[in-house]
Parts: sequence; structure tokens; C-alpha cells
Amino acid sequence: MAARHGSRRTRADQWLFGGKWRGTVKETRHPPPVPEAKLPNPVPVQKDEGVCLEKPRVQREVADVAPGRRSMPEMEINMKEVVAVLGVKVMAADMPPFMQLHAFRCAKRSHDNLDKFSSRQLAHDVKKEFDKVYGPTWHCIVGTSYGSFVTHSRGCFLYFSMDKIIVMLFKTKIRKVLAS
Amino acid sequence: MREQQGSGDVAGRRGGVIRSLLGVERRLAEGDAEGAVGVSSGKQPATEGGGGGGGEERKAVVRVVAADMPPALQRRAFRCARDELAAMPHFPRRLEPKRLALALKKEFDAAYGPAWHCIVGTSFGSYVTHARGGFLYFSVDKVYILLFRTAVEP
Repeated sequence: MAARHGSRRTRADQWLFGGKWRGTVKETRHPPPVPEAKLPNPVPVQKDEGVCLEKPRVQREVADVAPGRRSMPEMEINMKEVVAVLGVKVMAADMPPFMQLHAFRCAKRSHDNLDKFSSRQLAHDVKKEFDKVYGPTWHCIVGTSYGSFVTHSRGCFLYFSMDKIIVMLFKTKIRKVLAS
Repeated sequence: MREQQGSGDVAGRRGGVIRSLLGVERRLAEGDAEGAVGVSSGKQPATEGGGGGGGEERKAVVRVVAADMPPALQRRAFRCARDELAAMPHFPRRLEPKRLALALKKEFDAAYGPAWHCIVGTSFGSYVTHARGGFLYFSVDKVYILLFRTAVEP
């Protein structure tokens, strides 16, 4: 079946496989391919696990698409891929991976939602999210130029950079549960 | 984006030195923790930047941006910060935020019990929860310092 569509099918397969995104996303960016022709695509992708991308342009374009995505694909991906997609660099961490991913997504979402960047607002969003999900008391520092020395609970510290912003997130257990 | 970076702050980017004090037996009587407080530094009037007099170079200007702390503790923080800043190299002038943060935190941990946190820099925002009477956000020259306390479980 691939032969019938020639370069179109080949390109579509590479799009799907290289970016590891759902095909529907690619369709919106490439109107020319016929939607019906996409139906059998999942099968070839699964079989071609060893396929290597040959065109650098495809990789670059895939990278351009990634930052715009907010929902994660159905396929499970490891943290390394998430880090690459979100453009996050972990500099120090004492935190389970799932919590780190949560912090990355939260920070990325807040950063993208801000019309005008505000480090205080970003810190606010991340802290509130973590206070709500993992309990008080979390602290968040966001900026481009600062040093710090803090005390944190075991397993509750994360220090990462996103673009030129450095985010530090840590928790210090408190005696009483806060109402706020 | 609004960014301000002082000269020689590259070293400060590697901040975030951490230390766990879980298990510390000593503790002081503490009140309830306060609500969250957000601060943002880097906003300085243009007039201040251009109008700096040479005669006052030796005297560090301390300005309190926000505080919820007894005056005695505030004065101690000011003195500690001034002393540490004075001890840093002046030619070329270089800020060592991690060192200053460490000094302040250590002093307050030793004097008033755990757990204190200190952030030092020229461009950062924050959103933290602090204990009652344990929050101070001030500036020395153009360096902003955030010092706050979190009540810890025994």
C-alpha cells in the first residue's frame, strides 16, 4: 500500500514515527494528504520500529511542533523524552520522577499562559499546584540570577532550568496544616 | 521578559545548595504559620541607578521591601548581610549570592532554630509560605535578599 502514495506515505510515516505524536496532529499541519489514506498508518508504524530518520528537515520541523503541544500523547514516553520536548534541564533533584514531570508540565503550562512573563506568577502557580496535590508546605523561587541556601524535606527538592529561567521548588514540612 | 543581571552574577546561577536538617532535636516554641507571600525583585527606579553618589560607596544602603519579623532579628540580618558583602571582593566587584545565603541561613538557624531559608540575587521572584514573624525581604545596595522561616516538625 505504501507504494501507491509514494513520497506522501513515506513522509507521513516519518512524521508519525519521528515525532512520536498522534497522527491527527500531523494531519492538521499537512492538508494535502487525504484523510482516508491515513487509516492503515498505525500498522506500518508499529512494524517499523527500527526505522531511522534520514531527513534532518523532518526532525527540525517536528521540534517546532512540540512546544505547542500541551496534552501528552497516548504512547508512554520516558522522562528523558519529556525533558527534551519541554526544553527542561535538571540541575539538581531529590524528587521522584513523576513529581518532577508534574513540576515541568506545571511550569511550562504557566509560562505559556502568561502574556507577559512574571517570575512571581510562575512561582505562585507552581507552588499552589504542589500544595494542592502533595500537601503543604512548598516554596518556589523563579529567576535568572540568584543563589540560595535552604532546608528541605527528604525527597522534595527540584532545581531546573527552562529557557533562561531557573526554577527551584522545595518543601519543608510544617507542624500544622495550613488553611491557605 | 523583564530581566536584570548584575555584573559577575554568573557564579550565582549555580545556586541551590541544599541540606536536610530532618531529625534535628532542638526546637523552639512557634506560632502558626502565616499565609503565602510572593515577592519580586529587579524593579528599581531609573533615578536610583543614575543618581548614585560616589561618597556613599562605603556605606551599604539597606531598604526593607517587606517584613514580618521582630526589629531585633531584622537588624541582625542587616548586620550579617553588610558584613558578608563587605568581605567580598570589591575590585572587580563580584557578588557571591550562595555564600551570602549560606551565611545568613546558618546564623539564623543557629540563633533562632530551624528551619530558615535564604535567597540572594538580583533578579528573581518567589512565592513561599513562612512562619509567623519569620519573613524578611530587603535589599542591600542592588542585591535583594529573601530570608524566611518555616516551622518544622520535631
